[in-house]
Amino acid sequence: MTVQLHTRLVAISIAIALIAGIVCHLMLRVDAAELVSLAAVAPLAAATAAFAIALAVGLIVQAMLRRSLSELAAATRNVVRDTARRVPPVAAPPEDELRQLAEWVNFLAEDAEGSHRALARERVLLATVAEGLTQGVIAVDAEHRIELLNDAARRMLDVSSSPVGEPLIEFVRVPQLFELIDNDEAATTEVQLATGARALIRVARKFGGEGRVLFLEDVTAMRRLETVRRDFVANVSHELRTPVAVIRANAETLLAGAKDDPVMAGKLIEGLHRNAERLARILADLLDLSRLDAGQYRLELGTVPARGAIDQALSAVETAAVRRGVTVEIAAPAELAVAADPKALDQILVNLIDNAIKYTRPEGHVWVEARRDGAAVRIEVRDDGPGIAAKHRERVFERFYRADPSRSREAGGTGLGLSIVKHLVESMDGQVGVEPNAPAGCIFWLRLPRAAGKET
Amino acid sequence: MATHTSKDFEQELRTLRERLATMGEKAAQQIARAMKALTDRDDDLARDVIQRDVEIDRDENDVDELALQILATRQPVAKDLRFLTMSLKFVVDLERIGDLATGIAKRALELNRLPPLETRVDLPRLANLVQKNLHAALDSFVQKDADQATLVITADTEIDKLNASLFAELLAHVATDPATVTRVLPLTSVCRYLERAGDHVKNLAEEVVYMVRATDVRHRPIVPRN
Repeated sequence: MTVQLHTRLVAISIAIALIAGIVCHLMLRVDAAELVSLAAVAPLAAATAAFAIALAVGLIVQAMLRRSLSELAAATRNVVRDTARRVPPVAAPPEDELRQLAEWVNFLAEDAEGSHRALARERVLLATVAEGLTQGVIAVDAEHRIELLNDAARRMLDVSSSPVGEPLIEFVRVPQLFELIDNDEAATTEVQLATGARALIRVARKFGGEGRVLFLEDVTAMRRLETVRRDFVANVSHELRTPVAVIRANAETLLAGAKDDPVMAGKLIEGLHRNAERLARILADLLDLSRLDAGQYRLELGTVPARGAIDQALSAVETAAVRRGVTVEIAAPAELAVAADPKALDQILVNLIDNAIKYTRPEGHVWVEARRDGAAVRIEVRDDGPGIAAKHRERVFERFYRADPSRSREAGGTGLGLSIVKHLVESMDGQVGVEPNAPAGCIFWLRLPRAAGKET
Repeated sequence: MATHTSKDFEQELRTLRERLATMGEKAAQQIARAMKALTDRDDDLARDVIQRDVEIDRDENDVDELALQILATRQPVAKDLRFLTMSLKFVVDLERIGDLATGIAKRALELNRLPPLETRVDLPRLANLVQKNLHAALDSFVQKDADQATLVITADTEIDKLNASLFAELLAHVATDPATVTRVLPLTSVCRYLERAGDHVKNLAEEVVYMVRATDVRHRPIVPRN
């Protein structure tokens, strides 16, 4: 049953009622005298009957209309609950109001379903982007509850979980972070996190709403590099200044008259020579390093027997060992060979063994050992000297870095030896490192690829 | 209107909770940095620790003021009242922990003027225990977890035991080499500071138990639930 049919039925019943009324009226006027008895009853009965019919039809129509509407309401409710569902089509002409209503409901449902799908897609996209960022991102609402805490932020703040909707303070307690959140202005601050990392935290007001978005950037490596660069400039100037100062002072003294005193002149000239040599060594090392940096240092990889290389390096530093009374012990299988540039390997070993002899205690021990380590050869130079404190250990390979400045300069190093060693080893696809030796001293180790065709 | 006021009240309580938790974190950082200054013989770091104590002192004043203001204007009852009275005590313990960190930094400065002392007395281990316990106490506070707080209280006996053994080791050091006494004495102070910091951490945990369960567990043996 449709609305239009209902309206028609209502119209018909009203028409019937009207016609019945008019007939009664006419009958009353025909002949009042003749129809006295009939006229008293008939019109009233006819009118009543017509009215009753009209009323009945009207009630039936209303009931049918109400049923159709409640069916449509139930179907609409289902659509609201689940936008994938639709209102069943109404069998009626296109201009029928109920049919039009059902069609509009379906149109709305389709629109909502599309919006939901787009929203879900956007949410997935946002989550993927946030998780993939190397920058930490934290979003909180006005009540400081977590809205987003991406993977990078979790790592930086050492948080294992981040339930959305929970208070941030239950998971993160970095004081500066909360100061930033409370701050009304956009601001940036650098903090040291509990993990030891340094992070730059930037806060922004959330776009179009209450709450804040924080961005965390790990600047540990950057700050470390800055320190290395600053120290390098300071150290290089210092290393160059000392010999230059000696040369200038000696030259001035000679000019001032000491040149005529044979004893003094000899000493001063010897000082000039020693410091000029020192400058030349530093410059040669710096030049080597810059060539290595620029990749201009030509390395020719060949098969070098480990034992032979160690023996050769030892012969270069033997005098120093004898002078300090240091015993050097070698352990290297004769058949072991490394894939390396012979000159570079010699430079590396001389540097490491020379350092060990210089820094171990007088009458101390140095052990040089080569052994197979998977597809590589591991060469260790161990000593039983005072060792290197943990905080210096990771920095000894930096240019001009000195764990104990007074001692090492006295021992005659340029401060560049280990830096060159590291560069050379890495240029030959190897690794180098330092560990504490038990019970005393330290172990400098390097790993280089084992030479092919020398299997035992 | 009523909902608005209650929302403001919630906001004030949340701010107070955050201020206390971050203040606790600052105190933990101060202990860690003071110990680093001591082990690395780092004068700059020690001075920085001493300087930053002002921040914790300022936090104490701010938290006190905020708590009193909430008490006066909202007149809270039941758990909110417990939380507020607890925060007034909590803040005092945190401030004291900050002061003890400053004490460690001052001893570090004194020791740095003397030659290094070769000793195997493991003060960093004691400091780590205290810090671990402090973090656990703060966790129990923000998560309102009385069970965890109870664990913190029982863990304090471990700190006391380690403190006693380290103290004995330090005394033995002096006994074998009396010349080191000037360098060992500051270390005994550090040992005591850490132990006292541990006691304040225990107080914090007891306050958390009171806040959550409304039972006063001070000055009585702890019987863990279940």
